[in-house]
Amino acid sequence: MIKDFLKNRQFMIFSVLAVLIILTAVFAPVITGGADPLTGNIDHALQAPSREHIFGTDKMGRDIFVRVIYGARASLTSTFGVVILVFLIGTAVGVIAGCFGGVVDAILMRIADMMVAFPGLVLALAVAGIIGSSMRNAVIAITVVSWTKYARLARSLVLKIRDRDYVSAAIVSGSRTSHIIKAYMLPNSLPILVITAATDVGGMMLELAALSFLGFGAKPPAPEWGYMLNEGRGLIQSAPWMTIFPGLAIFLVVVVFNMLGDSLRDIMDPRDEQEAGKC
Amino acid sequence: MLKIDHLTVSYKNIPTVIDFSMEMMPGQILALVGESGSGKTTVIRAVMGLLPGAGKVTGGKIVFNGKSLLSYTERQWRALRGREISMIFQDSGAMMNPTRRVGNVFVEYLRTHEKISKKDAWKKGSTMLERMRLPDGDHVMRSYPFQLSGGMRQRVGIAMGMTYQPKLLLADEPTSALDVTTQAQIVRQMMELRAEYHTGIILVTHNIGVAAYMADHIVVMRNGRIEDQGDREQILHASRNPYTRKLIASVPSMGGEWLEQ
Amino acid sequence: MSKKQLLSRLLQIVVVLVGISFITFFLTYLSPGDPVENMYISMGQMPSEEIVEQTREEMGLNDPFLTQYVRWLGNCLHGDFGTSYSLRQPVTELLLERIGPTLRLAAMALGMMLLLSVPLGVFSALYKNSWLDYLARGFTFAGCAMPNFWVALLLMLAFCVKFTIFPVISADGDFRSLFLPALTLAIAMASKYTRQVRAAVLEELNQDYVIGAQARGIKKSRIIWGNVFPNALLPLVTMLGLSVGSLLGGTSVVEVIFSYPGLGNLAVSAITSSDYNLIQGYVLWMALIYMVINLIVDASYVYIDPRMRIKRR
Repeated sequence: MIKDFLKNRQFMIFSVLAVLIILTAVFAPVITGGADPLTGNIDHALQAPSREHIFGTDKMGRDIFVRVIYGARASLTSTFGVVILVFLIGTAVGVIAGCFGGVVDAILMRIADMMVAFPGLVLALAVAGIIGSSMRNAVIAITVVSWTKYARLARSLVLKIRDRDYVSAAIVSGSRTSHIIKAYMLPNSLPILVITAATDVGGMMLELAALSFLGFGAKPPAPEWGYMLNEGRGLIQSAPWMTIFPGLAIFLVVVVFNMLGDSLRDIMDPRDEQEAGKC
Repeated sequence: MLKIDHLTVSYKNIPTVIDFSMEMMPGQILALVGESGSGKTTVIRAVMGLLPGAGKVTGGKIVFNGKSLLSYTERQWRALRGREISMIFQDSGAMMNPTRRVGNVFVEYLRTHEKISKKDAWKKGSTMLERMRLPDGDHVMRSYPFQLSGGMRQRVGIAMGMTYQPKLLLADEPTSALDVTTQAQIVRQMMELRAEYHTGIILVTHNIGVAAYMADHIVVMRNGRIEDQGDREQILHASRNPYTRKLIASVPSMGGEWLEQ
Repeated sequence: MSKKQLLSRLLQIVVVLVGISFITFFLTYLSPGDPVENMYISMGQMPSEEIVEQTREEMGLNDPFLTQYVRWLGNCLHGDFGTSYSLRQPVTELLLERIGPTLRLAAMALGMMLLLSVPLGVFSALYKNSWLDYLARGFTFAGCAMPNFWVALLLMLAFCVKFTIFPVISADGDFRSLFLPALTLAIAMASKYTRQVRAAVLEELNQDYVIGAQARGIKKSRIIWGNVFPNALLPLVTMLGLSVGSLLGGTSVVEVIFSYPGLGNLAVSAITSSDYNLIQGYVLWMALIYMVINLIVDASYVYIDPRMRIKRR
């Protein structure tokens, strides 16, 4: 197994890059030499990229490079927050629905149907708008509309596993439900769920950025890529660098995590010939 | 009519058919028998110029009516396929586009090989089907492949393959997907075709019973090589080859009792 | 689709709509902002506590939750989604005004997407592992990873600022103003579809009937364009239906950027100004449109694919 990981060149390259991105977020103050992302020198407002400010400055005179580096923190924490929340809630609900069946299953699956029958971002917007805009609420909004995907997946995996002979045997011979879940259901369904989560990181990041861009996520003056694009939008003619660099940051990070998720899928589930993660 | 000379076919440099030679006369029925994976299908696909995937002829010659097929261009191949050499498959129904009616497939085929109006092509197809003892030709033409039974689909395949009275018919396990009764009908029909049109048939099968009933000449293949060959009587009753004997012994009843049904 | 299936689908739509209405109503009920205050603020007034309280009473906002919900749902059934606080116009009227431009934008985006992704997908499948295939795959990967609002801004930068071919603001909804927003939406979708088309064509090329047709001497071009291509497009129909849904939602970001007068733009401003009636109306309408489109797509798919059509009989 570990050999497979080491042998896969795509995985090695992109996991190194992913670690670099995470380190960038952690060591943001070191990388930027202690510059403050929140305050700037108003005399230096809207400067084009130069040796002093390699990505230029925004209308408050803040250094875009510093803000982009710090922005990794907000993006990564909120994205991982969403992915972990969605993964935990969805898996728990799906496993419960699959194991117990009956009314629980019917209700949970109707809710999931409802979510599927609806454009996700619209609902996320509505939720974010109604509970008020903040990064935390954006995370909640995306979680609310995304958990059902995992619930459905976990449920279908559980049902498939339940039909295997050795599991049926365990059920018939009177093993306790908690034991069956622990011994059979989780180990057999987790890999696929983890792969799905890994391939979803990029997509979640884009959705969060979209919410922030529309003003339903991060609040000023926090350095967050989506919101920085929002600030740059009005100045696209005079200060395009305000738009180009934060967008590039999102793009690169999403590419790295998509590629990483992709290679993970190749390694852990080579039978699945489905192509790289959906948009 | 057809001469295969020291043919070698390889997939990614791994040979699957090695040094295969044979010759057949017009109107002859030749059976290629052997276990699955012995290379028998590869041989006839090579004759058609339709090796699957990365398959390549890496040695030898295939001569059909005095012309070397391996030097053919794609256009020459196309003129040959379906006209002078036809092929039927284990399930001829699966070899038709499932989203189109049998008639449309038939018309497409006819209009590839001759200048004919759609209406006339339809009529011609329908007549061909009826000649293959499919009761209501027009009805079959209007059906989708998946609506027909296995036997009917096979007849459709044969009807198409025989439209231009080819000199050579390649039959890849033509009866293996059918029940015993239908098998017998299809086998008899193929025998009649030979009698009527003098079409040579290469029959690829793992069913020694069918081969024994139909073939004049039998070639036994194993691991890509010819293990044994000879005319029918010799292979069935007088072969000294232990592999051939084992193959024949594994068939519970020889003599084609199942055809009597 | 049989009558029974149709009925059960319609019933499902009703159930889902009731569910969604309940959730949105519940969320607005819980929300921190006060609609009455917002309403006055948007009118530019600072009312006293008593007037606010009086208005709340008049609007029935002090009734128990379920009473409010049932009353609201009853009104909705009559097509009355209330009045928008911020725009002071009936919600239904506002939505109807805006739906046209959004549908036009969605249709144009779908058209451009198909123009991009179908040829790209088909040729990258036919010439697998050629430079064209790698180009197409690079494009799909990049398209997947770019936030569409960033794409929009870059397009604006290129076409409006540098070359001034298109207007920056697409307020009037004519072709020129539709072009960039539609292109933005099309790029994101096209990357997904190119991949799908490519996979579908590759799968069809592996089908037995392709060998069958070759054995019959059919020309390669005829096999590809007459058989493989139409078959590969079949599964796209379902996807297109789903895309219309995500387009309706996905347009909001792009509409905001280009100041396009569509539903999405309306929704975002409704959300920003806590205009709950408008939000609720918008969400319900979107859900309804989305589900009806899906129903039509599923039903039509049965007619397009003979395998489905005949199995049902």
